[in-house]
This record gives sequence, structure tokens and C-alpha cells, in this order.
Amino acid sequence: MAITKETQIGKIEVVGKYKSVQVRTDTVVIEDGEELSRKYHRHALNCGTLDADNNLVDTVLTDEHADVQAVCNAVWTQSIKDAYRTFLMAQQDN
Amino acid sequence: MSEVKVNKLSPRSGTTVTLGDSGDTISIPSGVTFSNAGTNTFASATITGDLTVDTNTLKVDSTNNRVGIGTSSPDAILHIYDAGASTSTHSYTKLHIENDDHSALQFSGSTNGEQWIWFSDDTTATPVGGITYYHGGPYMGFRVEGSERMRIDSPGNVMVGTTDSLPGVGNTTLGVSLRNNNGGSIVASRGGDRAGYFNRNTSDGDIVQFRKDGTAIGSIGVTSTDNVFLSGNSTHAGIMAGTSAISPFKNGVLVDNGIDFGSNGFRWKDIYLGGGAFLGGTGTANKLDDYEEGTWTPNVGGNATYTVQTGNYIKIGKLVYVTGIIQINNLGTGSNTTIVGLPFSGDSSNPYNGSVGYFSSLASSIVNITPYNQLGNTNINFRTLTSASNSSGTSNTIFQNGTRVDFSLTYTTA
Repeated sequence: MAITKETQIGKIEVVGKYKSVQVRTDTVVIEDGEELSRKYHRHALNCGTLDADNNLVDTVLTDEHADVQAVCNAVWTQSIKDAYRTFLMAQQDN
Repeated sequence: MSEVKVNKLSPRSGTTVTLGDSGDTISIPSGVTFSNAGTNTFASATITGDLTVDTNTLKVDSTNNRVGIGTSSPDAILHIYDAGASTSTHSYTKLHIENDDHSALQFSGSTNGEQWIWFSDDTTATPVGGITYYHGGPYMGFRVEGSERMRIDSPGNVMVGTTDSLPGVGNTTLGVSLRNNNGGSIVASRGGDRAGYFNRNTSDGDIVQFRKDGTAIGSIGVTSTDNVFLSGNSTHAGIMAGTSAISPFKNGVLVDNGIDFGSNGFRWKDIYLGGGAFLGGTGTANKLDDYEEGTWTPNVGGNATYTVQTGNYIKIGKLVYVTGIIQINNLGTGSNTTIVGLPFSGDSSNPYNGSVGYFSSLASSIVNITPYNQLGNTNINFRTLTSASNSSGTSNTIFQNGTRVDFSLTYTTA
């Protein structure tokens, strides 16, 4: 009887106008090949944040799974980043 | 001397009278009758022509090489005749048993004996086919190509390819049984392939019908040319297997919104859907396409460290409910106004507010604090009041070393 616990990237979803990347990390417990449980942990990523000078600072992806990095780099084009920066600046005005 | 008339020929000595010598012919004219006063014995006799005994009790037809019993005109090599049946004899027939009523070929033997009718060809001495009745079984067997292929046993079970009347029932035996024990049943067992075929030509309808006490209770059939249905009787539910959907079916037609899945007290356990469920309607607005629960990690970014950092979420369709507790150990370069890391990005058109159930050691002294999801991103910001006012603001700092905030928020995803 062998029980193992492993994490898997369960989902990578690209949503919304500004291409937010939603990542679901699954923690799976398996006994003799049969899945006993699966727990989800979520985090979502946007392409950047504004600094004090309203420059968009790119989101750091070095700690993300390689698949997540690949998706983010594919969908976060410069036009998306520019649009998101404009959006964030407009939020500050509210 | 051409004629001797005597009344009696008797041996002069001994008990034998000899007529002629070998090669001689003793002619007995037609119409001569041998009178028999008792039982006579011929050690052997060769008759080159016909033999007729009692007109038709036994007839040997030397012209056609046939023997008749009960007939003077045998129509087969052996023709046993009781009364005329007005039947013609097939050219293959070698033994013909004829009566105008019943007739039989009877084999009699011991209670443990076998009786056979054998069929053989000119290639092997062993009969390849046969019909047997084995009294010791008892059963009747049918032998084809050297082996028994079918058997009928004493209860009346007909077994093909097996001697087990329940092949595949509690065993892995192969074969077919038309079972007569306790009434009739059909049992079929096959290795590595389908064990039954049912066909209906020309039209749609039932292919197999099920009955209880003689009354129809359901059927399996075909509708719309190639859609299989499994249905109860005209008042009971069923299903139809279409090209890409299993649909409710009843009384020969598809049913809309008329058949339940499960019932009060008799629920299905789990249902697994890769897509969604349409509830209360068939429009996209009625589709519930997601349910998920899990954890997330609220944080303020930068290099902040935490004493407590927990979060849970439940997502139902587009609606997300999150809870979180965050307690800063060392704020470092982390944000003093914003929690990031929501599990789903909020939609960009509707802001959503939450509530703070507990806070301590805030960076500002406030009287009211309300978390909200910034449009279109994964952040939580806070609207605050530092004193009684008719509007809240977002300019007050929240986080510093030691700050704890327990909060919840409901929002919709993009």
C-alpha cells in the first residue's frame, strides 16, 4: 500500500479583457493508483502593477510553473500591458 | 421314362432323399403349391428369382433388388408397409416405413444403453454424424462432424455447444441453452464477443419486448431509424440514445420536461459533468457551468512576511465568495493598501464589496473599513472612514507590521 501526494497544475485559464491568468494547483493524494482526494489552491495573475510614477511593473513569473510562464508570456502582449496600465490609472482616479 | 407318378418319396435308408445332382435343374411349374403340414427346415437356399411369402408378408423383388414386408411391390431397398399413405418415395430413400396412420422405427435396449442412428461418409470409418438416445442420462444427443453439438436432457433443456443448461451463470462455460427448468429461459454465453443478436427489418419499433405476467412492461427498440431506446410501457419512462444525447423517452416518443432524474428519497449519488447544467430554462443565462472550492493565499506583494496568511474560496458559476485572514509580520516592500492574489480575476464592469469582521493594528485609525474588488483584476482594496463622514475614501493606509485583517468578499468573475 503506497500513498503518494503530488501537486499538479490543474487548470490555466486566460480570462477577461486584460488577459488575467487564473491558475489552479491541485494537491492529489493517491493510494495504489487510486485517487483518494484532490484539493484546489488558486491564484490569479495580472500582467503588472503600477509604481509610484504610474509605470507598469511587469509581474514577476520566476516562481511560477513553466506552463504558467509560457501562457503568461504568450497572452501578455505589449498592447495588453498598455491597455491594463491605462485601466489601472483610471482606477486611481476613482 | 418321362414321368413318374408317386404319392410319396421316402428315403430308402437313412433320412435323406436327394433330387438330382449338382448342376441339375428341377423345374416346378407355376401354380404348384407346397403343402405344409408342420415346420420345415431348409439348411440353405438360393433363389435366383422373386420370393413371395404369403402374397405380401415378405416379397423379394429380384428384378429391382428390393425387399418388401407387407407389400408385394416394394418401392425401396427395404419397404415396410402396413397401409397406404399415398406418399411418393424419394430417390434417396433406401428404407421406407409406410402406414396410413402412425409409424415408428423403434430401438429397444437396457436402462443404461445407448441407441444410435449413425451418419457416415466414405472418408472415415467413424460416423461423423448421429442421433443418440442415452438411457443412462437420460438425454438425446445430436452429433455433427464427430462431436456432440446439441443435447436435450430429461427436463427438456436444449443445449447447444454445452452440456450445462446455465452456461455463463455462475461459471464461464460457453454455449446456448433453451432452458426448460422451472419454465423457459434463454441462456447464451460467448467468449470475447457479443452473446446475442436481435434484428428488426424495415420499420422502427420494439426489437425486444419485456413482459410481466403476460403483460408488456417495457421494451428495447429503435426509433428514427437508428436511435436505440429503452422504455417502460406506455405509462413509464425511458431513455433514447441519440447521436449526441441521451434523451427522455416515453410511449414511443421523446418527452420534453416530463421525466425526472431520480426521485424524492431515491437520489443518484454523484453526477459528473464536463460542461454545465441548465436550470429552469435552456438559455445561456440558465447554465450553471462551474462549481469549485479551494484555498488561496492573500498577500500584499513585495517581500512582506506574514504571521497568518489563509484564504478559502467557493465559486458557483461566475459568483465567487472568498474569505481570508492576513496578518503582517514585516511589511517590507509590500503594499500598505492592497491585498492581492484573489483566486479569480474579477469582471471589469461591476465592483463588489465585502466586509471586515475583525482588524487590529491598522496603519490608520479608522471607524469603518470595507474591502472591495478592483475592477478587472485580482486585488482587494479598502474604503475607509477615519471619522463620521458622508463618503468613504481609499487614501488611508491599512497595513503595517503586525496588522491583521479578517475579511470576506463576494464578486463575479470575468
